[in-house]
Amino acid sequence: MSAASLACVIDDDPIFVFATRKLMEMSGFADQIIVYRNGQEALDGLAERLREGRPLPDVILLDLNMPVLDGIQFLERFSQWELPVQMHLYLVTSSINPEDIKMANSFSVVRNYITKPLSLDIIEGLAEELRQAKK
Amino acid sequence: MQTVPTRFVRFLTILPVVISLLVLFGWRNDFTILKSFNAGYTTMKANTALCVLGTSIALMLLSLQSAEAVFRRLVLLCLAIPGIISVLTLSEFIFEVSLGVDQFFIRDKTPPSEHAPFPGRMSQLTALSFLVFTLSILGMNRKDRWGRVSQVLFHCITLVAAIALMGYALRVPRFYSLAFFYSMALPTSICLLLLSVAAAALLPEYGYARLFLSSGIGNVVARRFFPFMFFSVLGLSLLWLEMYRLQAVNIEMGVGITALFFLLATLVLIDSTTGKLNMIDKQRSEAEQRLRNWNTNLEEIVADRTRELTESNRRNQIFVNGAPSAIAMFDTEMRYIAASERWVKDYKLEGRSLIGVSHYDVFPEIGEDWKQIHRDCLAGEINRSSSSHFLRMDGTEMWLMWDVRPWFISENKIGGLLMYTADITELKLKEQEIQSLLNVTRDQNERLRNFAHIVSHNLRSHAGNISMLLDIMTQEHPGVSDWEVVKLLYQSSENLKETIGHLNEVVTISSSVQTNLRGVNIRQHVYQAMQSVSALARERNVTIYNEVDAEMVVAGFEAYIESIILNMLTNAIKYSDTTKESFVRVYGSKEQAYCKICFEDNGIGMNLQVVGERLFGMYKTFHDHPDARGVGLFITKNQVEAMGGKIGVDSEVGVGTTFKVYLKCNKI
Repeated sequence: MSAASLACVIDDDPIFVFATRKLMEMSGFADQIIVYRNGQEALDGLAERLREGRPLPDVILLDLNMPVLDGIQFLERFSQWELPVQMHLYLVTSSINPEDIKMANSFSVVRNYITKPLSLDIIEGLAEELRQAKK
Repeated sequence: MQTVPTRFVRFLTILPVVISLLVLFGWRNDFTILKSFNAGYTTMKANTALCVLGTSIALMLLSLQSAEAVFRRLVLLCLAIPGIISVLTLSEFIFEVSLGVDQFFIRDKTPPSEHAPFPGRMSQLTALSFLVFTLSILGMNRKDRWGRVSQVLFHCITLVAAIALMGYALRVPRFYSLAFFYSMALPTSICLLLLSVAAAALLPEYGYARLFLSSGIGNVVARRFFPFMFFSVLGLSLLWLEMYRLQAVNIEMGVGITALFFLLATLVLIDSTTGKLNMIDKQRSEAEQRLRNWNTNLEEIVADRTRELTESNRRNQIFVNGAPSAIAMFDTEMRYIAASERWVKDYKLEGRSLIGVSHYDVFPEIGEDWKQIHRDCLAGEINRSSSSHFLRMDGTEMWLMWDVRPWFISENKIGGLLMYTADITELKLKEQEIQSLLNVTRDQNERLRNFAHIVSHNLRSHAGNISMLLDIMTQEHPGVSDWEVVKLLYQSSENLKETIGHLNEVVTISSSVQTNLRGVNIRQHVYQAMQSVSALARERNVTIYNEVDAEMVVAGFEAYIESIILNMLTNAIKYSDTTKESFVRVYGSKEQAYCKICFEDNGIGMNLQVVGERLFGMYKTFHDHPDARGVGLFITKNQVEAMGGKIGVDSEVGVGTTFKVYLKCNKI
């Protein structure tokens, strides 16, 4: 059984998205993956799902540097939402700027901060964490 | 203002008090001799004695010169006795009635006579005298013409009493009874004389009191002359009369002897007075001489001071004129006394005559703010400024450093202002230029930093993607990992990641750490680093000696210190000479404010002449060495410098290398 029924990737880099999707498929991380190309798209998409009563993702991988609405701005709005289900949100970014890390960790919805690149090991680690949380 | 001779007044009032008490005692116990002091003569009445007592005490109180109300009330109370008694007695005389006052206190059993028809009643003159006394004393305290009137009245009483006394002394009854009046008793006249003199002494500014009480030389003569003359004339007259009455001499002889004795006595008096006056005159001329000497001295001192000041002011002027800086000297009206050549040059005043001209005429552009400063300084303040803006009439902007202070004519008298200014316009412009350059540099640095961040971030993204794609490719097609190209691709991806890691380290070295440095123990950190490199050291057979003093603590940033030591040790191990028994020695010493840490090895060394400045540059590798990257020394240098330190190196090919790291010692 997959670790997540629905995983969500918010990133503007198509290569990263492609690779992530591949890695998730290879490790059987999620049954379904949805992708948003920036924070605004993600907010709109998630809001629509919430409104229509469709399932929300178990896990979100969020990039920091994105056009339109970046990761921090997304978090500022998203953290105001009242969610019916528990959601695991991970920041996945290539920034190693300590200020970014500090800022991201100030949001309680953020479970962890992962530095790019992702690897099969990291994806499997995430899957393990999700299974633990579900129990 | 004459001072009241209070002790003299009190002394004069003692006798009247004694006399009046004796008289009262005489009446009480019927001692005739105590009533008149002279059997057969008119008696001093009990009422008179009471009046004398009241007046005496009033004068005594007045001589204390107290302003308290209780004293004034006591004086009024005492004066009520003579006042009431005299008014009643005089009324009896004038209206020819008996008001019962005559024998109110004591019963006078003397039968009425021609000279004293009413027993117990005092004479008209006595009663009048006491009325005058009372009124005059009341009027005396008023400092207007009443004082003068009072004094005249006191003198009248003195005269009346003196005439009566003279009459008794020379036995001329007419003198003490004055024909149409009743006789005044002997003790009464004594008392009136003394009391009137005492009262006159309380008004030393007026009348004869002034004559005798003033301190002038004429008054000294008066004080000596009058009593002597008075007593000698009285004595001689008495003597003459007595001798005449005894028929020892005839009138002509008597007059002759009296005149002779009087002349002799006057001669003696004049002699002694002259002596006294001469003495006073001598003292005066001595005092004058002393005063003259003092004056001369004083004049000399003043002249000296003036000369000194003039000289010093002249020197000041010469100094001001020749001073190599812009100095000007002003008087209290802000007119130029002197101005240095530099002043003239700085303010472009060439060809203008300044001396005697007002500063404000020379510089009409001077505003109220400056004028206030000048006024403050003329009042004794010292003002200065290290940088002030001054806009000239012609629109030139000047920046001035100035100092304005007063100069002194005498210790307390300000003669004017000394103004020192330095034209710092050029300096100021340079400063502004430097500041703008600094801003540009800071701006550029900031942009560079942002740029580095962005580049490192983007590079990381792409490198990350490549590494992820490679992962996926080898997972999906396990066979490809044996391909040489894929292996090299892997290697390249790893190298790229490492390079980006180094770049990141460089980017994150921040100069801001200098403000929050903490004490870091070097020996402990060398041990920690030795643990980290122990595997590498064992592999390459290098021995590490930690010889740093356990007490050595530098002011540093722990992460940087760790990185520096690790880098130094790694370098030394990497470039060890495999043909030798290799070692690295770490030791420290203190050099002034710096702690010097040396990393000495006996490795392959390098030719510093060839390497030169590029040793600590980015991406320089000088050894043909498999792990060489070169960025390590660049990072180390930056980290050392970020903590306010410096790094140096000694090296010789084939002998070894010594890196010397200087860091600030921790101040505790």
